[in-house]
Amino acid sequence: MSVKELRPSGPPPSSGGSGSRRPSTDGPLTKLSKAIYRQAPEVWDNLRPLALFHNIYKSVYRTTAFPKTERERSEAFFNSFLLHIQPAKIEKHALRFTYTFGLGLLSTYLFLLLTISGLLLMFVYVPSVQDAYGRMQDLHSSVSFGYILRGMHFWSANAMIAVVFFHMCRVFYTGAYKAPREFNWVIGVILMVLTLILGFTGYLLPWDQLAFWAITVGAGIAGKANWISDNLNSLPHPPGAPPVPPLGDLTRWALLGSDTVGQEALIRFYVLHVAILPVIITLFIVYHMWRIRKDGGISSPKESPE
Amino acid sequence: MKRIREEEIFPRNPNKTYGLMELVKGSSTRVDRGPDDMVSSWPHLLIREAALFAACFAVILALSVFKPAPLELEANPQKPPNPAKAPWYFLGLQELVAYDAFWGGLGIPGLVVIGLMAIPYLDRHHSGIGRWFAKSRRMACTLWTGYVVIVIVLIIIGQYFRGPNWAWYTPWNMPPEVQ
Amino acid sequence: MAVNYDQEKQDLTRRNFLSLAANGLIGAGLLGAAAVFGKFFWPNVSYGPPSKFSIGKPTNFGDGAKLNIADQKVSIIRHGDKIGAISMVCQHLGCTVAASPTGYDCPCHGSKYDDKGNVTHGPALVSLFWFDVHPTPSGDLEVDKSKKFSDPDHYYTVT
Repeated sequence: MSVKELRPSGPPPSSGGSGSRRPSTDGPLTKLSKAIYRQAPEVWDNLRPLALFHNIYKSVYRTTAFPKTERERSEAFFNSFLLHIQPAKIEKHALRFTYTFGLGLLSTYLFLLLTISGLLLMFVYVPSVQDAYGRMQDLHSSVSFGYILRGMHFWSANAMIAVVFFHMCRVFYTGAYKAPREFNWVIGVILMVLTLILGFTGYLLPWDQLAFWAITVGAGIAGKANWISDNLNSLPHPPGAPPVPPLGDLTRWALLGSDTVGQEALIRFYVLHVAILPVIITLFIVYHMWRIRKDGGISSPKESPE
Repeated sequence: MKRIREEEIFPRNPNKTYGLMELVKGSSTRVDRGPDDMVSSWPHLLIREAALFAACFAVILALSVFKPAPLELEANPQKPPNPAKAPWYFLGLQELVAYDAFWGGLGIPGLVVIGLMAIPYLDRHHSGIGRWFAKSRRMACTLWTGYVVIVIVLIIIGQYFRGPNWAWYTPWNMPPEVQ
Repeated sequence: MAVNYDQEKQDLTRRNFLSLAANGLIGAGLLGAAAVFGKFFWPNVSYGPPSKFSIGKPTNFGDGAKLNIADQKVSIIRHGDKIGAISMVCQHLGCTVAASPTGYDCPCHGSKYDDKGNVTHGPALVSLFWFDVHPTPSGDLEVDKSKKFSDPDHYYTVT
């Protein structure tokens, strides 16, 4: 569809010429419409459905929906909010599926699916020790599409962890972490750790046996940081120096909010899983993508000798 | 070909060292550059991205319809399941933890993460970028494959070779109460 | 005289020193504020079950008894006229151990303990805690989980 101005044309919708000045018998609405026509005759033309649709579309997108020339194709990327993070032109090598297997984009897509299905699950879920498991059963029995939503969240999460790992392998095997992309690799490692932590905080929420004991063990692992403070305290130190506090117990205590896994731990993991960690990982994803562009697009064999 | 008539369409300015010579048809101007392998993102990139999303969504939807997410019994703080297995992506960690709690759970994973972050600052040789398994990077690729194999083997051991009380079982001798 | 700007950027001139110091101060201030606010995450009140609980009269337990109090994760044992309370939380990573003929076994990572909570099989390195057992004025015995001992044989002797 090409964009062109639609000129006002055709007769006004209401008749009654403006030339004769006889006393009017029109109602107030007719009077108003005649007044509008006298002052701004193009208003009626602007209200014609085709023109209206055209002008609204143009105001939103600025570019044509089906670009034909090179210039229009570039503009389609420059002028679009969603597409402008990508280059308007791209190397043919970067498009080969067997080079990237689309793994980076795939993990972004899975994160998107996780966000959407997670937001919908929040309408049903209650982060309480008494109710959480019942709500899980409701998802499988009494909520329309509930089990599909939970399944999508579950499978997307598992797939995302695998895809992120494969993506890291791809980047390693193609040497794509080398200068100038070193720091983006570091961001990628952080993203992988964040993905694992999101998985860890997520599987307490159903409050089933797996949830409870996996978090018990996870908190136990955090408690083992005591090893560091115990060893520091056993080093020779000046008399009267305060001992290093037990780091592991402090971490465990902050994570669980209590001695054992219970209501406090559930609400903490819930807030981490649905609010804090998603915001943090989103910021890192955005930065990761910005860096791809700034570091010169995805890696290419032109950059180095064999 | 004989030039019939010389007509100056673009008059030369004698004060300038440059001038417009001719107009040619083409999709973009390239001065002093060889042909590059660029294509426009619309539609070449866009259509691939859209297809990938469609495939991704279809697979996830099919999995969630035909293989619903598992839900175990309600949490019972008095009675851990035997064996108590973490999700598959933490089974490697759980296997390490079964040898030593601090080193398996915090020490080794922490060192692995620091080591991963250090890779681009240790391997600064500018070769083999943009190719799979470049010959000049055989050493690096072998080391990485070793790391991947360790990760996968630990996960497989945790998933298929550990039974009640985290004891060693072969998959075909696994007690029936363990799935 | 040509000024080497690159060199000036690297040297610690007065200007560079001041800007470094200012950035450091701002950073230290933010970190300090965050550390102080971090106290927010450490609970001052525990909502868990009370740490002291009654286990009834000493006569409830016969010689050689080994009784689990499941909701407190404590095992009460009696040898002759001595009564002890052993924690059932595995010292490895906090799973609940199960009583077995040889003592206590952990299902999560395979630790084994004998009847007095000593480690007989790894990965646990430390024996199970013993809790303080003492009589109350009513004659009932009370276990105090806030008083725990890393070495075994903290019995209450029935008189």
